[in-house]
Amino acid sequence: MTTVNAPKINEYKEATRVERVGAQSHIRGLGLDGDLEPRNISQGMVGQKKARKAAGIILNTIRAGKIAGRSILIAGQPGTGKTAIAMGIAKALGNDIPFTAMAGSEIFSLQMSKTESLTQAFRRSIGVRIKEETEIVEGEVVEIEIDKSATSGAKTGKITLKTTEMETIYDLGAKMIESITKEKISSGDVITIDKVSGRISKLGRSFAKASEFDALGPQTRHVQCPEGEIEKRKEVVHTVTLHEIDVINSRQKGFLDLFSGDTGEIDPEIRDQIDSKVAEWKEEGKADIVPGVLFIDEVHMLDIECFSFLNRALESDKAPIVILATNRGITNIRGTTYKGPHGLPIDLLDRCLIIQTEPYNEAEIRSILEIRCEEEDVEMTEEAKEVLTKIGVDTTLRYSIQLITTANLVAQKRKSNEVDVEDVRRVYSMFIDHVRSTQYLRDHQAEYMFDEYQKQTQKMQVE
Amino acid sequence: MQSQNNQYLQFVGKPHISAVIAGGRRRVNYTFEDKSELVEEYDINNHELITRKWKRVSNIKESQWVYEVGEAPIDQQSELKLSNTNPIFVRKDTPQHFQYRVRNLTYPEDVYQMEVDEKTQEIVIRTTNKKYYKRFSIPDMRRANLKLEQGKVTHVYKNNTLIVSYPKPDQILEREYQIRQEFDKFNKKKPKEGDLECVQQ
Repeated sequence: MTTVNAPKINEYKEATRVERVGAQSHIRGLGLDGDLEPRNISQGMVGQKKARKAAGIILNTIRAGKIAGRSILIAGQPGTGKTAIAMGIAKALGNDIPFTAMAGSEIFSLQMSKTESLTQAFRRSIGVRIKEETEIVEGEVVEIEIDKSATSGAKTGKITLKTTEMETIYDLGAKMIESITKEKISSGDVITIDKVSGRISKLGRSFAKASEFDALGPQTRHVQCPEGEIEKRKEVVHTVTLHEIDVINSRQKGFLDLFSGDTGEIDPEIRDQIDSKVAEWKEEGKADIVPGVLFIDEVHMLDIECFSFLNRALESDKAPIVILATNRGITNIRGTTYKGPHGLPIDLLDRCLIIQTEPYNEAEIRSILEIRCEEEDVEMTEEAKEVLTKIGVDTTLRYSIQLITTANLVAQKRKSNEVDVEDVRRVYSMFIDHVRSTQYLRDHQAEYMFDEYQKQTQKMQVE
Repeated sequence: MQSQNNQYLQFVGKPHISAVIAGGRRRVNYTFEDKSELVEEYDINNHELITRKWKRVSNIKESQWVYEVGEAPIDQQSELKLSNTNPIFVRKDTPQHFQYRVRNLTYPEDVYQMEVDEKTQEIVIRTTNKKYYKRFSIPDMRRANLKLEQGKVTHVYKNNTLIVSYPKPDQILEREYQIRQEFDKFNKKKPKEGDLECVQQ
């Protein structure tokens, strides 16, 4: 029996599963201050001030919600923070505003036509904010008990919640247990659980338990123990996307389809019906339309038909803000024989505001590496950091980031907690970046198979 | 049946009413203009109200039944459900009183306190040991625009069950009497399982 509210070190690790660290998971926002000036290193973002400031202005436009259908293009060399800025915008907007991220090639699906994929992507980015009464459970956690069955491995659990007037015990299902361990809920936390959606929010820690621990996270809020009943009906403002409403209304068991992901094509008649219904609700004051953000990465992968569709879709007054990103220069526009800047036709470019990102300088690379080290939980000596920074400058930023965790593993093999220069040197020689790789190919081309295609492979270097 | 229509002012317009004998009980279905529904189940013989449940139609998500009288079936698959060690709150009226029972209460008799919150028109059950707390209103009184009166709430505690009673005012007793008359008329036709009864609006 594992009681989560009094953990020992090894038990604690089991209760808080290690989350996989993504390439962009260190980004928490755009790192701007009150006047929209970018701080040099903030919320995971480093340098790139002009682009971040521009993104901040876009952010405010989005928040104001008054202007629909703008598009922004973030263009720059590989590894200059384009996706990071889009992530920053997403995090800064928060959960209320729909943010859909996709890559250009996702449009090409065998199950859906290109226009349907794009239409769905657009409708996923338009939210409808509705006030609804939901049942919630709110209280201070007294105790959490989670048992793992020896035979089936299934987890069962109970949670005891209290308010100033009463106490209640709840049985927990598997998904609830997962959420509880993920959010690191423990005794003394004041939480709210939405009974319908199953979402748990931590409101803070109870004042009564404030004296127990001296060291708490920087964001710990202290709140009063809730009063009255544990189960309440609260009016909650709920944001659903137009796409979700489409799906629910297009199938019998539409509600379940949302989770299975298999939506297929949706009848345009249904979409029209939904549109008029939503317009009605807006008139009656029951709902608000919230245009969100659609982020299309690698937009040079779309073809001319998609671009024409985009042009038209952007003209609607319900259109979301579209953020495009690409690292291509003057390239072929797919579906035509013409070339265009960034692989986009000029009429689409005309509708875009273009933000340029620039390659990072040495000091910035150093800061980014330090942030990533922290994010990936790796300790590194100063000298190792110097060497890694130099590698980042000589090769690419991404390559040096990838060396962080690999160097850490090598360091652990020699039983050290800190990564040192020798570890970095070892992984540098084990894993080759693309510059050295192409150089190697040039020198040893003759030894590779099919080397009659020598000339063509040299062309591929120009990315 | 006609006199009852005023009670359901919460919902839109006049309901379409139908009654059927199902599961040994008389089930009355009210369907309102906005597609919301009300279902009441009465005991065939003594016309006691066993369950009353409402369903509002929501565009965004699946609608669910809200039980006003009687117990909702417990969703075994639910991720968050009340442990069976908790007290269970149920309404089951008697002919003269609105009655609420809280089962599974193991605390001594003197911890329970009742009062009427006049501002919110709710009855409040408190415990001095801060273990159980419940606020509830009586929808029938609300619908009839009648006020709850302090001092009329009585309670009894026995067999680990707390029974809270509030006497039904004359207006409501009158209506219930009329309903029983109607049902008696139906019963004279000796209804069987599955019979549909036509109800005058």
